[in-house]
Order: sequence, then C-alpha cells, then structure tokens
Amino acid sequence: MPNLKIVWKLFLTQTSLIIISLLTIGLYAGLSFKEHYLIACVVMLAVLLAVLISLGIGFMAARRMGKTLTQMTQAARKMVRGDFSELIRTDSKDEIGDLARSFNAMSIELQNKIETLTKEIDEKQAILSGMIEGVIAIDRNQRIILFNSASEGMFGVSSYRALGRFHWEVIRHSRLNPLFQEVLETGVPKMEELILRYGGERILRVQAAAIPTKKGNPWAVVAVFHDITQIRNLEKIRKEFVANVSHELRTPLTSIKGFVETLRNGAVNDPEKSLRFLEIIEKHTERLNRLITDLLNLSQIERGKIEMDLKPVNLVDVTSRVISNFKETADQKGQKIKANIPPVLPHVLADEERMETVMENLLDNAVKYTPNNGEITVSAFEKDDGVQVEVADTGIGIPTNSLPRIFERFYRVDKARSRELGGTGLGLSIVKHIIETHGGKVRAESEVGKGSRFIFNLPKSPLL
Amino acid sequence: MAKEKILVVDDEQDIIELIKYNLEMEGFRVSSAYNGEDALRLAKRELPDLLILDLMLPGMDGLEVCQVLKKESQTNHIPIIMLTAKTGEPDIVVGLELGADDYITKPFSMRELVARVKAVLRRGTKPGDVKEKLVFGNLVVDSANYRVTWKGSFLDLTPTEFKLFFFLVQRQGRVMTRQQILDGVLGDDAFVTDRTVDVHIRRLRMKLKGASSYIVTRRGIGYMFHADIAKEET
Repeated sequence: MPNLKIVWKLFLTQTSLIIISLLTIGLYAGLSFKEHYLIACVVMLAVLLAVLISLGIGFMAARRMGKTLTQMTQAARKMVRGDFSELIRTDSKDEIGDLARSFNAMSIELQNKIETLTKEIDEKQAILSGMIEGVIAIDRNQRIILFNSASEGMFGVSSYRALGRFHWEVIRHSRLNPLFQEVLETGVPKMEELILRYGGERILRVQAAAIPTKKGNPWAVVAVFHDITQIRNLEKIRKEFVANVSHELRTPLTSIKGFVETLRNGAVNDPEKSLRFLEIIEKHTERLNRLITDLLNLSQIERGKIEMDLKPVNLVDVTSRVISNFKETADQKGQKIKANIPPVLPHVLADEERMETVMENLLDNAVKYTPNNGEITVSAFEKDDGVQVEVADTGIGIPTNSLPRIFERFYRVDKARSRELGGTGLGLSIVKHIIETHGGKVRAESEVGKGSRFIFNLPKSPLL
Repeated sequence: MAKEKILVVDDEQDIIELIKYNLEMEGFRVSSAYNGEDALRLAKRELPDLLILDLMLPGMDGLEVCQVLKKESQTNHIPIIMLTAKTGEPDIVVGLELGADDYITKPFSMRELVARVKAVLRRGTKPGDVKEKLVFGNLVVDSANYRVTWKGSFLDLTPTEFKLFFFLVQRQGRVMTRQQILDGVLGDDAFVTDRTVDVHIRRLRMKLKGASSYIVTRRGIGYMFHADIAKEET
C-alpha cells in the first residue's frame, strides 16, 4: 500500500515542523518550560488527531481507489483476451470515477467496433469461400495471403498449406508464376487463359490486378480464376458442328456448281455426258434437300419440349404404320420385316409425329444396312415402368470401336457407303434427341457381319 | 496441247469425275485416287506433274500425304494444289507451310481450277533454275541489278521491297503465307508481326502502280505472284 507510506511521511514531517516552530515561537515569547510543554502537548495531540483522522479518511479513499484500479486492471486483461463483458462499478464522482466511466465507455465502443469489423470480415470470408471463382492474393514478398476455397479445389491445395508460402511453392505453373511477378512489378492488371492439368485438363481465365499503396507502388496482387472449360468445350462442339455442316453442304454444292458449269461450257452438246451429269446434279440436289430437312428437324428438337405436342400415344399403332410404310422397300430387297408386338401396350406420353420419325429412321437404317433377303424384327413390350421397343436386323453390323459414336452428329462408320445410300449422318442423332427429350433412353448393340439391334425405352404415360 | 499428268485425290467420286472431265478437256492426262494411301502409291509410281489433293480424306488425310510427298526427294518437286471445304482453316496454312503450292475452296469454279493448275504448272518444276531477268509482259524483274521495270520505266523500290517482290516473283503461282514471307524476306528485323507483311505489301503495291495486280491477296492466308490471271481473287 504505497499511499500509507506517503501518509506516514507527511505526518512525521508535519509534526516535526510544528514542534520546531512552536519551540522557536516560545523562546521568543519567553514562555516557561512548563507552558511550553503544555502547548506542545496540546498541539501534538491535535496534530496526532488530525493525522489519524486524515489517515483514516485517506486509507478509506485509497482502498476505494485501489479497488477500482484493480477492477480496471482485471477488465483490461479480459479485454485483451476479447472478453468485453466486465464493466467497472463505481459511484464516485472524483477523477477515478471519471476514469472508470470513460473506461466503461471505451470498452463498449471497442466492443461495437470489433463486432462490426468481425462481421465485415466474416461476410467477406463467406463471400470469398462462396465464390465459384478461385481467388488468390499474394503480398509484396510473393507470399500467399489469401487462398479461398474455390482455389483449393482448382489447385488441389488446402488454404492451410498455402497461406504464408511463396506462390511458386504452392502452385507450379509456367505461366501463372511469371504473371504474378509481372503484375507485382508493373502494377498493370493482366488477363490470361491458362491450361491447368491438375485433375483433368481445365481451362482457367485468370485476371490479376495489383492493389497499390497510397504512394502508388503495389503491395499485393489479387488474382481471380474463372473455370471456362465448359464454355470452351461448348464453343468447340458448336464450332465443329458449324464446320461439319458447312463441309456437308459444300460437298454436294461443289458437284452441282461444277457440273452445271461444265455443261454450260460445252458438255451439254454431248448427249450421253449431259444426261450423266444431270443425274449427278439431281442426286446432289436431293442430298442437299435431305440434309437441310434433317438439320431443321434437329434444331427444332433441340429447341426443347415446348414445341412438342405431347399426348398419350399408342406405340402399337405407330410401329405398325411405319412397318407397313417400309414393306415395299423391304420386299424389293427380298427382306422380311417381322413385327413382334402385343395387341395392347401401355400408352406413352409423346409427340406422335416425332415417334414416327424415330421408327422411320431406325427402320430406314435397318433396311439400308441389311443385305438382300435379310430379316428385320421390330419388337415392343412392357418393361419396368415403361415400354421398350427394339429394331433388330441381320445386317452388316457396326464395328465395336464405332459403336459409342454412332449417335454423334455427322458420324458415319463408312462415309462413302453412307453417302451412296443417301445418308446425311444425322438420322441416329435425331433419334437420340427425340427419345431423350421424351425422358427415354436409346442404345445400340451390334456384331459385325451378324447384325445390329437398336433399343429404346420410354416411360409410361402418367395420365392412363 | 499440254500433256502434263495430273493426279486428283478426293473421296467423292463425283468430284473426281468432275475435275477429271474438265482437265481432260484441257488436254491433261488425269489419274485419280480416293484415299491417302492410294494417292501416295500412285504419286510415287507415276510421278505426276501436279497433284490436286483434298484435305479431308478417310484414313490418312491430305496434310499427311502432303507431308510425306514433300519429304521424299523423289516426289518433293511435285506441285500440290489443296482442295478443301473448310475456309479459313489453319489446315490451309499448315499445308502451304508444308510445301503445298496453292489451295482452292469448295465449291469452286472449274475455270478457276483450270487457271490455277496452269499457273502452278507454268512455274516450272525444276528447282534452282534462277533466271536473272524475268519478263511478264510489260513487267521486267532484273535480279542482277535489283531493278523492276514497268512499261519501260524503272520503279523506285527500296531493297526490302525489291526482296519481297522478288521473293514472290520467284515463287510465282505459289501462295506464300505471311509467316513464309516473314521468314524469307523480313526475318532479320527485330520486331515483325504478320501485319508487318501486309504493310510492306501495301507499300510495294503503291509503287508497282499498274503492275500491282500481279500480286494477289489470298484473304486470311497470304499472297502470291500471279503471272496472268492477275485480277482473279477468291
């Protein structure tokens, strides 16, 4: 208790000063020793009393002050640990009271500020980790200071392992590392496309920008990574399709244009040649026409269900009708079409016209690719929760390596043969599209030289 | 009448018939192949004077055929005109850089094809046959004196412009890609891009005046010196 010592020292100094002054005054006034003694005793008593009283008061005040200070110390210690719950209780109106009240106000204010800040950080953290884009930030020393959860997925590194390390330690990429360095050095934002080979090839578009200090020199670089693999793949498919269509259209056009020009340049005077050339022109005109019809069909189906006329359809009727349409062509080749269809089948919810297209395309292929006197079997039956239809032939079959690709647009097992038979390369992809827009599935089985079997399933109509 | 032998390679029977008929009418001898393998075999056996090669072939494709033929000393002098249904494809540039001479896109006019064939054949197939003075009607290119004369008057070309012009003249009837021109003419310059070639060509054409139509632009691909069908453009 340092304040007690001060009180004690004060008391001693005061008493000795008083005694000395009294003795001096008494000597000058010529008082007797006895009188002297009496006055001194009274004075000393009075002083002693006064000192004791002030000591008591001081002691009490000191105790109160000490308690407040201890409380404040404890509260401050708690604040360091982040606990702002403790407030100092005081009712004194002195400086210590003021201090305690200021301390309380500060504590509340600090608590609010910290809460706001924490909330902001949490929000930012939530946004960063919720982002599909990867976000990585590096500081001036090229160490990673931010690594959100999307980047964890993209680069296969946990943020725990990435933070605080050099970017080239965490991600090794021949173009990304120089990019970070360049942006950090120049401060000029940069965008680039990177190919990432972690976990399958992916294409990332990275946008890197420097965060400048007030003086203007960059202190950090933030890079945002967009995974554009899917977009690029779709673009590629679309481009390939456009290129294929253009090729498929140009090829017959070349023959038409070329032979017309040849005829005009004189071949028209050669009756034999001109007849042959006209036949070729006619053949290619028909090919162009079929191609355009198929392309239009495909694009209509791709536009989706909206344009489909969905009704409960009886597949027994549809298949029988299509089979009878192909009877004549099959008869010419000496082929037999067997129908293995029960009299009654559950209805399916479908666009009847499109179902006819499916059956026509499948039967057309079967007739085309089955040699003379072959056999084609159309079966339909109830299976699981729907109807299964099969078109099987005893034709030339499809090689195993081609089987997975036959539903692709413009894929042909044998281009020359397909063209000779008038195929556009789109028939099966139209079948697949129609079946899938109806919620069904289609597949093919085949053995070279023995025949092929196309199988599709459609769900039962929920209305009946 | 010309008696040059031409090998036509395409997987479309009708297109072969078309080209064959037209070339035969022009007096050429024509043989044909439907795929890359047959094309290679025939080219090596018959050593034709020109190959018309479709790029999209089943099995071995046109570019591969081109690459093999240009590698072998026996066949590397045979000029090749590529046929393609894909315009603006990198395939064309690759083909030209592999050594093909020209390309033509489907659908093409027969007149155009015949003209291209003749232009390529006129170039002569013997390599190393460098004449000092080349004369094309009113245009005289004198490589000994670095001089170009048009209708009797000298054209004031810078050394680079002359080099560029002479490079194309020497390869008349052959489409040169921008890259090939860069490598052959401007290769020493420090910072050159594809566009640099365009700028040089534009300046060259301005100075060539009436003779500028001898340089034909093949859009998106490059340039060629064309001795007679100068106005023709695709």
